Amino acid sequence: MNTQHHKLFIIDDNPRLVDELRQYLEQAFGESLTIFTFHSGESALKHVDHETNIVILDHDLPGENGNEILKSIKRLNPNAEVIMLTSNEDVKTAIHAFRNGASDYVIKGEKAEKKVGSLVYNMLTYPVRVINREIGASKFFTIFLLVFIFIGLSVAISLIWAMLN
Amino acid sequence: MKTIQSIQPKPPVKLFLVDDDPVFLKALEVEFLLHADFAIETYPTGELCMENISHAPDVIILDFHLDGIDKNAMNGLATLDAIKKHNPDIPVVMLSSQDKIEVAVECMHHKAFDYVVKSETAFLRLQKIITSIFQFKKMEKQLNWYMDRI
Repeated sequence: MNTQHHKLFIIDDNPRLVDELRQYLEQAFGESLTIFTFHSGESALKHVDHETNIVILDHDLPGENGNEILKSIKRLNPNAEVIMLTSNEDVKTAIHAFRNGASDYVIKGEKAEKKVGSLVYNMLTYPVRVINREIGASKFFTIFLLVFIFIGLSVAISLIWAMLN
Repeated sequence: MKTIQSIQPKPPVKLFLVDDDPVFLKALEVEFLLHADFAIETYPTGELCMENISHAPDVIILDFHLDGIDKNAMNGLATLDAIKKHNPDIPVVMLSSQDKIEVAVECMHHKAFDYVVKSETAFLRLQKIITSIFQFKKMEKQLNWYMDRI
């Protein structure tokens, strides 16, 4: 798995669900994720920035509904992956969510935590899988390659910096 | 020097209707022809739709259960994938008799433009969706025009 820290938001007005999901994700992903929780969309929007990687968002929230919050999140950070986690089973609501840029739409229930967990895992490992698919390399080779590129870039930047000074 | 340009009539919107239920297919075709100027091609299978995809449809309305009669036929999702592989810009509206959120979500994952449940009001929804597809395309064109100038 990618060892880089990722910022994940959980936005839901049900404190029990928020706590359970947070515990589940912390157990599953450990330090790969830094989790922030919010009970309303408005309070979460104040903290969304370009470093917010993943958002788990309820639809039926007090104040603006999830689809409106989703639009605002996408305006603030178009690259944020947003998973709708809701008990709203209306087909139109789900389609609107996809139109507004949601990555997935999960119905709350027994298996919801696992489903969200597997989606988060896919999102965290996406860059590695893309390189695997494109160059047909093994996972270890890909991670090695990424680390090598990162170190190479750091050395190059520090050299340029030293030359400039 | 002034040139006189001939104003050619706008070609009608080309619509593909794909459904293995001949009664529903005919009813949908008649509704569309009665309410607006469409050039409609109807196909009972995904295979036939793909054989004629070179006719460049503007919109495709595709049944989810295309393998309802012939179990070996290409199903709706496989047809959707084939259409998107051929040209990802063709908007595809999925039609289904199931009001199941899982099916709708799956269709959206496969890049469908929308998902409509077969009912008495399905035609009205399809008409609205087709209007919104063209509004969306117009907005996209305008946006590209501005982006090119930026």
